[in-house]
Amino acid sequence: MLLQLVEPGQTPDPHGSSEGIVIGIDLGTTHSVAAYVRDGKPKILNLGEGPLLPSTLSLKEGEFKVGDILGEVLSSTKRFMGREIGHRFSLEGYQLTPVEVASHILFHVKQRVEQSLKARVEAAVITVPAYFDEAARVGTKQAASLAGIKVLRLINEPTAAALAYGLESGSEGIYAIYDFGGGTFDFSLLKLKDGVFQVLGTGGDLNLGGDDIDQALCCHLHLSDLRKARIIKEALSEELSFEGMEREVLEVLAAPYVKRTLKIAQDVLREAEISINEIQGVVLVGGMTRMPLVNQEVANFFCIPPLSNIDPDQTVAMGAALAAQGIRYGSDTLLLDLTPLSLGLETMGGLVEKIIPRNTPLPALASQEFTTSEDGQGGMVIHVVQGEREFVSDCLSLARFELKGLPPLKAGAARVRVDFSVDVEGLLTVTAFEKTTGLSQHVEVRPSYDLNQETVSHLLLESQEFGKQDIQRRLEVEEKLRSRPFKVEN
Amino acid sequence: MFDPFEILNLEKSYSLDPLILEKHYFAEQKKSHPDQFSRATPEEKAQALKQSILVNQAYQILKNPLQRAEYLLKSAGVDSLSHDPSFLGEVMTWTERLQNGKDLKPELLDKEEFLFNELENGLRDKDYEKARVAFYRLTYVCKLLRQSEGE
Repeated sequence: MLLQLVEPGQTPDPHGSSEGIVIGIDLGTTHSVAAYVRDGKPKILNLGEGPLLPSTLSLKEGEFKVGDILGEVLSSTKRFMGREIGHRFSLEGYQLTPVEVASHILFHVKQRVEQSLKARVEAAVITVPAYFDEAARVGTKQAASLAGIKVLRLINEPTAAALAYGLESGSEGIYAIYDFGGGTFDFSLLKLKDGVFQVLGTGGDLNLGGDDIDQALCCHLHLSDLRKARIIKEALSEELSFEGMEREVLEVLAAPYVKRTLKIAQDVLREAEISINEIQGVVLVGGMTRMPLVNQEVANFFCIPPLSNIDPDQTVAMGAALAAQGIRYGSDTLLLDLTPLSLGLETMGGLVEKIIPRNTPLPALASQEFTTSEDGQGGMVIHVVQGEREFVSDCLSLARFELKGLPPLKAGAARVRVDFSVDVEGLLTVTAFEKTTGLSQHVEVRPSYDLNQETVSHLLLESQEFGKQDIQRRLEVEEKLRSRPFKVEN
Repeated sequence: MFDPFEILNLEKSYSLDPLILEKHYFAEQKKSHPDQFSRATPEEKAQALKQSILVNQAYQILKNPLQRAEYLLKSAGVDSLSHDPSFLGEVMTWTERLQNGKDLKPELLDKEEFLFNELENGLRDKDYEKARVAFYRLTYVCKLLRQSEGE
């Protein structure tokens, strides 16, 4: 069932060489999992108490400790990755950023793997939700770098899941990856053909996961402890009743959340112009898919029984390990990814000029020329935003920089070209340069400024709801600006 | 000059089997995608990245029939956006009817099909005036179709 990315014997033995090993890490919201490839097959690594390492951080006798679930612990911090600058979690007097928490978890993973395999971890593939925005991706890379892990590549969790199922070997067609985890929901459509994984569309909600169902259960049973709710929920996936609670009651509580996941699936299908009967198979990933209700609803929605023969908590890490091996030692498999959200910049009147639209294949490069609106205008503010809406105020601000020292020309004479370049991991670099003088400046987009993660998952939804209204506003503003050139300055 | 057909190693022609296009796209990406160059020198990496971006750009253009036509018209030296006042009257009538809640989808789909045929024949026979008119009208019909679907 599992794919062999590399023929045994054709590649250097990862253990015998002094090069160290490459691993795959699923840095999850609630749990982290690591795997490596031996003899062409992914093996899950023991990270302490078993394969699932709780993604938590606590302090024990002055030392940071990863994986505890009792006492004062930081958990589900991945939800805050890429959030506004200055966001800190307090832990017994320490102030930690989401990136720092992630780096502690990654460092722990690296140490455990090195201890158990008695080999150096040379590099890793780390998975991120397909829906992770720019800032969250950069944050994940920074965390790895702080932990001393070289990142071979960030890959999207659904792609990793498809790799784990070996879908590219012989099973051509379009597959849906339904990933319902503890903290996030992710839905992607992948096309597999000639050894190529092509992402056709993706969507998700960074704030929709099993935690929400735990919360609902907590309220329903008037419990004070979320962990108790989780135990009951998990037990009810196996048993029809547990501690006086019926599975049916849980299913009533969970149903609205499952509906929301299917609504997202529907939207992704529509946008990618794929109909349900074109779907060859559905892969279930994430702990929530153990719930019989989820399995059943997904089966009803797609009219096919979903694939779930790999442990849904381990699928992503196994795929990441295969990808790591493939990238490190070469492979016939190719991952072709897309930008999850549109990238653009602010122009006159607070309008957004989209430079790279959502769902553009990566790597991508696009350019746009801008000009000044005033005589002798000496500078231009380049404000980089992400989102689908027409107005800057409704999008996410990613970075802002000023191109200074423009030549003293008449309004509209200066020509400033702005290049947006997005690499295969979805990381953006923006370069602006003035053509007559060759003056140039560039930034790699870092998580900073007024990022607000909570708005991310709603950006797309909003753009659909407000699309028409926006276009109307845009037409009105453009009307007023007709006689003036574009100006990229506040 | 940027030639998407050349980049994807395809014959320069409007009619293009999507499966052939995809096959060529994948083949070219396998040659140039940065993941295939993780152990290459920085120069080789930069070169691969550049090529991979071009392959993606070419694919984006060629898989969209309107963009494909626009490229072909442009490379034949035809100004695809010159005006067509008689048609604008028709567009305004459609817009009004849309605003009055009429379902124009079947009508627009017929028109779209007809114009795509005109476009294809025009480009095939090098009748660029015919192709240009069809292209220009199609940009409006496609926009109207999106609007009618959005209602």
